[in-house]
Amino acid sequence: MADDTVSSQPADSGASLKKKGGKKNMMIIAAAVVIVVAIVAVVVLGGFLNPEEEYDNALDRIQSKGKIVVGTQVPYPPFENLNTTTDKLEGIDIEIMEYVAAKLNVTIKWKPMDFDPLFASVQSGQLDCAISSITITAARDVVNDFSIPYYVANQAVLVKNSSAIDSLEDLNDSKLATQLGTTGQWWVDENLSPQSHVSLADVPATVLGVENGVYDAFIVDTPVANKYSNDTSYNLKVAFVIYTMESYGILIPQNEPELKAAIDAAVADMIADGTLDEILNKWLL
Amino acid sequence: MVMTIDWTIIPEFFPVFMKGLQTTLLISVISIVLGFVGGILIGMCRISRNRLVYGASTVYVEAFRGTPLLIQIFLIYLGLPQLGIYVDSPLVAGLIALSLNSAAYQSEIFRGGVQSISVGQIEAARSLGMTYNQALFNVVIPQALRNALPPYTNEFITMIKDSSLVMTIGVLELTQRGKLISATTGQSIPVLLFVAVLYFVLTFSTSRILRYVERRFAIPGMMGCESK
Repeated sequence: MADDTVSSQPADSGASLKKKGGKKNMMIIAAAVVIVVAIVAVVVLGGFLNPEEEYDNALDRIQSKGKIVVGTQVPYPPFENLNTTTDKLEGIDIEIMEYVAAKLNVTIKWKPMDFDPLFASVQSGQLDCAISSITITAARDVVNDFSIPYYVANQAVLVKNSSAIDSLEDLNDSKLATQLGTTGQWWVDENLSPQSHVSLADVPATVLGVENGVYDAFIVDTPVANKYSNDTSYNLKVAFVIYTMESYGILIPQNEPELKAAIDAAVADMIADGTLDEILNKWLL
Repeated sequence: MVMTIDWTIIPEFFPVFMKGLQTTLLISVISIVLGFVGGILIGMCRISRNRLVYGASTVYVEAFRGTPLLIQIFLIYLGLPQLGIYVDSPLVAGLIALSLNSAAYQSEIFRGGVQSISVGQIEAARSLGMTYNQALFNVVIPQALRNALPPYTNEFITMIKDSSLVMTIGVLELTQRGKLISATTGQSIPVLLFVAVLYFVLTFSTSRILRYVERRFAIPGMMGCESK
């Protein structure tokens, strides 16, 4: 029954469209299309081109514009979180930055993003600075700069209430989780040889993993661990604290001594006038 | 040990979920539409005989199809400022990355559709007195698009789900909203499930709508056009 009257496909499928002759039109269309795409691309991108006006330095630019662009990673309570009802950022780092911005006489434009890209963004100028419980380390200091420290944190071992883990030795036989690109991750890599070690970008997901028994312990900055262990909707406790004595600083672009000096002065004021203690007490107690 | 699962947070945070859903819908629709238009333009270049046009479009397609979307998003948001191009809004940067990426995929879908049409049809159209362009635009492309609907459906659904990647540069879309709600309430499982359900509503309705379009505009006599 070779009934192929309707719209049978001839069996010359090897021949393609472009083999047919007289393609000048086709070429012209294609060339025109490429040109149009190129022009559209240039115009679209050009729309976002902010010709860099001449400023003496980053501080001058920030103060002339009256605006400082600050990056942070949420959620990381109690340091930074986004209030789901008001859509406003809140937390220790947020209030610290507000104090610093007030001292610089500028307003803050917040840019929440993942933790890793904060470093590249400060380096590339997408951000004027970043505050996100960032531990000051030598390696990070090479590409970017830091303010003076505003907080000293240690690493806590967050486990289930029923967990038997209570020493560093116990951690070597355990499945550990840390946050990606953090000092907790590096500390585990350097000092422990656990059964397994996973680094995740997302704190709430990692906490859920501990609660479900996917990981035996989550090694994370003390204030964050305390927040989860104190919250009764979780069955979690802090097994013990690893004293790493890490200092948090505000991430600042390299070679901007004026900006660094201004931020350092603001942080020093905040420590001296007791504002920092007030903020910490408000969120940590 | 059983975790306490509290479903009441779903109604409590319903408006927050909806804000996320709105953003996800906006991102998906814009990047799918821009990707569709871009895909047709690039797909036309890919069937061009001009070596330059063909070469340039091939490089584009291979580059965007062959590298991770997440890296493209980071490069557009974080890399361009180093070239002096500031994309200020993470939403715009995310849309640019998603559209450019989808255009690469959709151009191949379009090309596949065009090449599924027998060259004999062009010959027939030409012998009826149509110019080459008339044959292309009136005979080949209308059929090509219809033949390409199933892979287009695939790509649209993929885009809806991949739109969640822009949360890494701080866009408050559905997945990121969900993460923030779990961080606030300490409830992960109900939030994750509800977010998954919302995505499913989007993707399932997309596939149903396109299936309808597919049937409505099926090429008469083609395989599959009778199956309802």
